[in-house]
Amino acid sequence: MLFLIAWRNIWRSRSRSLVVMGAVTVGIVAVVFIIGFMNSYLDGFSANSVHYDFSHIQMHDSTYLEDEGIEYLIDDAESTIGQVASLPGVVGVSGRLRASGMMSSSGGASGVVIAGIDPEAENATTALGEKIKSGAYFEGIKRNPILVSRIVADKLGLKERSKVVLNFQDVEGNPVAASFRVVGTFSTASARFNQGWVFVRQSDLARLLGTDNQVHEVAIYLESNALLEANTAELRADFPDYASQTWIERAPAIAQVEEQTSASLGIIVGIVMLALVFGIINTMLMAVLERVHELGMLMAVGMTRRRVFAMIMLETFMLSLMGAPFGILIGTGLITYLGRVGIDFSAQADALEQFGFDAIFYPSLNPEDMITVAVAIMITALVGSIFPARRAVKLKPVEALRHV
Amino acid sequence: MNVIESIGIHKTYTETAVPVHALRGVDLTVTEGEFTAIVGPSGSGKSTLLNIIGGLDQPSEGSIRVGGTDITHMKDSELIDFRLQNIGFVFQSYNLIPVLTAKENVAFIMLLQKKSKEEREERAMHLLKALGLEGRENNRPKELSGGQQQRVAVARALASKPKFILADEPTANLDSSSTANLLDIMAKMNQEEKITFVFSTHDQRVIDRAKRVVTLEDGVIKSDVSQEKISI
Repeated sequence: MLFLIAWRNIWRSRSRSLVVMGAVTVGIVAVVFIIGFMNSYLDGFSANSVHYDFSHIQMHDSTYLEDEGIEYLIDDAESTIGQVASLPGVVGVSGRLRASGMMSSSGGASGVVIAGIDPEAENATTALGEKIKSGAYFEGIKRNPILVSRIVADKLGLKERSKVVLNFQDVEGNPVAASFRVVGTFSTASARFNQGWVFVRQSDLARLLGTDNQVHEVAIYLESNALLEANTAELRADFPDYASQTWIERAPAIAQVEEQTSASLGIIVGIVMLALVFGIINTMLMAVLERVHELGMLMAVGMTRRRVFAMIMLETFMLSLMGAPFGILIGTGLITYLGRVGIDFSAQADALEQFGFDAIFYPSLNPEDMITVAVAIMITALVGSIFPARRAVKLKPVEALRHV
Repeated sequence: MNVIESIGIHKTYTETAVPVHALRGVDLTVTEGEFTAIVGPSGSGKSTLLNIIGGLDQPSEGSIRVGGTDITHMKDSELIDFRLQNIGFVFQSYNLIPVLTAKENVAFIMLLQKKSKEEREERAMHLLKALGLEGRENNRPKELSGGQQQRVAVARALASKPKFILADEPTANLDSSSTANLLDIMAKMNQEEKITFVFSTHDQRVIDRAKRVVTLEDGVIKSDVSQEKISI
């Protein structure tokens, strides 16, 4: 009967209860939307970082990691890459030669990381070929083609077929200067690539560096993060002389961003829920204050304070939770729809690209998110119910009965 | 058997700037089956005495025993349970639970007493019938007249099978017909079922029907008069 009383009490002030339910619904829609949007933000950020930049796993000579010295190479690259490619769930493996140098043109000079790649393997690994903004992906220029980022191209005034000169050191420490011709420009979701990487054919760079069937770096792109640990462990076992690192180890900043974003999400959800809590407390306090006389009567005739507490808690819970299904339903529907059509930020595409984001965000929800929402609602209802319920049980029957 | 024994009850309210002495040594004994009216002008201490007898308030001095149990220093939680098991309340403004039907209001007290559903239903219907509310059991308070609501309140007070019923100005909001009807019912229950009633009232119609009239003035009993046997 306590349940019945609580339920009917909610509807004593229908409009007030509907307003609270509406507020809860809107609050939950907001929370679900924020979670969905943050998911797309995080997924986009980490997925882009993995796909277009770091790949899932990178392998280097152990010493190379200390100072990226050009002489620290992975030998027998062809065989090593072939062995790596045979691991389960490997989508692409790209062996890279890397050199730090200066790129000059008639428009100026810029410090760059020169990556010597196998275009086909690199495209399978970082989808670089899909990110060409002008020109072609290593097509149309036979001798020393170079792919530069749009940002660097704009900075140095480079166009397709522009001539540039690269200055760097070979593996013996000798200075090397070579001219290349711009075959195309790219713009990826990797801020690192966009800001200062240029790509040349591995064979061209190997000739200039003086390497033979050697690479500095092997980047491995997997089907999913689920394969990360197992494949890294296998690589470490198979190639004990080389350092195999996951993208989390290689780029801890990404994991930190994820952690910070999750923390921010928690704070935002907390603020929304706090606002709801105050709304619920306000409503229930009004309900309690309007019923002081009645609550006094209930305690006078023998209703224990525990039962009064439970009744007010029940009322608050019902009031809070009735709006929840609508909020979850609308929120989930909204995210499903937006997840399909995306939220277009094309107007800010350039700025987003700088930070490794695509221009279109696709919100999504995971089952764990719904648990988070459910827990948040329960906590909101619980916190919102305690204060009014405590207020109710603090009433003294003899004084409450005098209350008009 | 003494249902109520108050010995040297004093009640002083000290929350005000000047202490208010609401009761100044009240000795009152009510035996089983009495139909007692406590009367007196406003501020005479009627409600305070009723509150103390009903375990809703505690005396500043003196002691109070209900059904042989000293409730003077009972803890709040013990008092709630004591009231539930031993005292029936009828209030001036009916004080029914507005969201429950008449039957549910009566059954609610028995639910608090953890009575079975069958017993609750049966006794609630029996009491409502006895109080002339048959056919009204599924009406909510707002669908009932003042007299009907007060009869539901009496049924609720009786539902817990209390040692006595305390009624604070039970007819104050009722018209003459409803008052007469309510008094008839209570008098009948007093006569036939030996239920003890203690009223506080200004209402001469209630005073006229009481077996005993205790008059309070300035917190002391000025007179305690037994009257002719009440008529049903």
